[in-house]
Amino acid sequence: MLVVILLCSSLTTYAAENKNYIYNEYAEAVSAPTGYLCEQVVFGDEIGVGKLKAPSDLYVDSQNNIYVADSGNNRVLVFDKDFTPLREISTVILNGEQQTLASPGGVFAAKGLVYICDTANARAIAVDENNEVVRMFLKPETSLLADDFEFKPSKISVNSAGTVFMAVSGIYQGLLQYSDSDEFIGFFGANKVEVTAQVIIQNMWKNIFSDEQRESLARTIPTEYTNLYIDDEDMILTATATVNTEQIKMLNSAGQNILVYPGSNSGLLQKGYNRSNFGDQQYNNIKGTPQTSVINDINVDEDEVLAVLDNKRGRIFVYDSEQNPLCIFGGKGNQKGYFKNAVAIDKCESFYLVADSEMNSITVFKETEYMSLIRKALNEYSLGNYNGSAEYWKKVIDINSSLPVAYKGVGRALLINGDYEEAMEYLQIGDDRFYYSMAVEQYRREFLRDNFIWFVPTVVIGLFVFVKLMKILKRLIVNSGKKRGVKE
Amino acid sequence: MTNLRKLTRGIFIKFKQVKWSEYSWSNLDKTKLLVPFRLFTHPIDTFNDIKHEGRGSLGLANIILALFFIEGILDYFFVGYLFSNNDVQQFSLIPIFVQTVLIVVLWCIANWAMSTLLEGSGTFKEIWIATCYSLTPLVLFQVPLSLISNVMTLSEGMFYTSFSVLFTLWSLMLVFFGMMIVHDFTVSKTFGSALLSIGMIVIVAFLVLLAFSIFQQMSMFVKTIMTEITRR
Repeated sequence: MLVVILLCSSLTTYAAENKNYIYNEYAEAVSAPTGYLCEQVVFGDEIGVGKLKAPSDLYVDSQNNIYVADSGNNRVLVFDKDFTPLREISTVILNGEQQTLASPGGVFAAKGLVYICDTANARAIAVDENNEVVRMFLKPETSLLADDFEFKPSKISVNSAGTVFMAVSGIYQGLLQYSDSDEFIGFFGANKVEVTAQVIIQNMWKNIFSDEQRESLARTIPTEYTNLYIDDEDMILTATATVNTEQIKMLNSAGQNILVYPGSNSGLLQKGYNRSNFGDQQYNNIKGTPQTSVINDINVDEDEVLAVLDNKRGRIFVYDSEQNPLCIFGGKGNQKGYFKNAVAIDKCESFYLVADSEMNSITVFKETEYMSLIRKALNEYSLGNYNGSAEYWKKVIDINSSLPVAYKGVGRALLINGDYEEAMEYLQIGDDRFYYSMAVEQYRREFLRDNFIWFVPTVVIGLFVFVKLMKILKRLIVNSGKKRGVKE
Repeated sequence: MTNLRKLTRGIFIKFKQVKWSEYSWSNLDKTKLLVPFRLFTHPIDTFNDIKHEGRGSLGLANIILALFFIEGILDYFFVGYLFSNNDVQQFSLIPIFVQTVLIVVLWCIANWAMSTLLEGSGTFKEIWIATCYSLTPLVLFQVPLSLISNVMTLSEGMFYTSFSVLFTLWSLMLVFFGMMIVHDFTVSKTFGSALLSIGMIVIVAFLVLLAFSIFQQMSMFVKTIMTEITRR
């Protein structure tokens, strides 16, 4: 027990320092090359829009225009990719009447419309280029929400059909879904209640208690979504901050989680890294509460690379489509490239933009050569060019020999090329059990096919000789016993 | 000091009294080597022989236990990558020792204590021999199974796990029969005494951990006081 406690306390080394690290297959932090470097930090007054004040959201549209919800200044700013100001939305026109925004919490843009979560006005709106309100989403009239419930839309996203999904703070029933004619359709994909010991005990008491006593119990409710992201294929990714596992979900149209967490639900053994845990894997406990990552924004790009923003430690975790960690960057601090309160992340071309609501800045991260090799490898793999992918992975291994995903990449290419023996080696280092199993199967088949002529006779004769030897040995022992008069 | 001297003296005398010629190779009853193998086909008869005709050998029992320990180590390294969670860099003898040797020792002590209370007729030596002999299936088959698991695929993993469970159950069954015959118990009484023994193992483990942690706390306390004194 004590050993475990001692071990846990020594694990926090990396969580405390701003070092470059990555988690290996045992969920241990090992040092790694830098994946992203701070290119520049953008302040509002430097680019001529006045100081930003508590920016709360960031969105980059398909034309690489950058939308910033400048919450403290009650406006939404639009820049092009070089941060040249294009537009400022602080008043909108609703039915010919000018109205100001009130601390906008979320922003989204699609098909010429800018969707804004007008948080303090208890609504979300979509404005066209003349700041005219085209669509409006209000508090739904449903018995599930109390009349005095304060409706605070925080994040908004729209799929290609025009259906709007909204995360509202304080609503645990899921995302709010509005049709393309602005009508409330329903709640979408609620989180499940995490089954903890506390919940079980409470359920037990509930059976015993009277109705009045039951009323006084704290209700067990699922956690609310903090953010959402709709990718190119209309898949909805959600982030949940206050859970320790499955913080990221990918919801299909029925609201079910379809994200595959390798190892955790496929029945394979896992050496220690549970892929349904995002963010930091090693953390300390403060007063019994594990200090897990608090994920408040996510981004998926066209390579299906997932970037996850951890507000607690100001770090960005980058994963590939199978939740293999690729790199970790950022951190808390005052230096360039570190954050005080990182709230939003998005990707503009190959740069990651991160908004900090306390430093009132937007930090631009540029990928290093190491990361661009990884990206090229992933890209080649998704195109089906496995050999090209393996070439890049080999270069990655030259730079960082402790990145499991690189070995996986090489191993899979070797497997496809039919070099099963070497593939097994690489796949084992990469801890890719499924493909390792396939390699074993093929290697075994090949071995038997090539060596059948001597292999089978050897086994048969070997067994025969073994049995014979054992029989002779037994007879010797029994005979030695007979001399002494011992019965068998 | 006199006590220590007496003890060493006693050990020396005992050592001198041992007739080493009895332990020479030609004097050993080599047919006893076959006894563990006979367990496979006639478990109850064999345990009866061990109990009533002195066919068990303490030395062989100890050798089987040592082999069981070695098998535990080999298994850690030999089991196929697909079926193992073992991190070779984190290898430690202690958990393997606990899982193999210590559990057998604890079982024997607990079972002996329980059977004394329940008027079982087995001596500690008989319990020890019966338990160690019962490990034979595991000792013989577990390592080959682990070796074969290296060429198994995930879909064949079922065979690995089921065989592994089979050997363990086989050994447990032999232990059960062993205890039944050694103590002259009925089936239900054996079952009860086994459950009680397991309970006792848990209690013993708890007490050991408790003592360990109290000792740690004590040493910490003394250490703090020492620092307090030296730093003042």
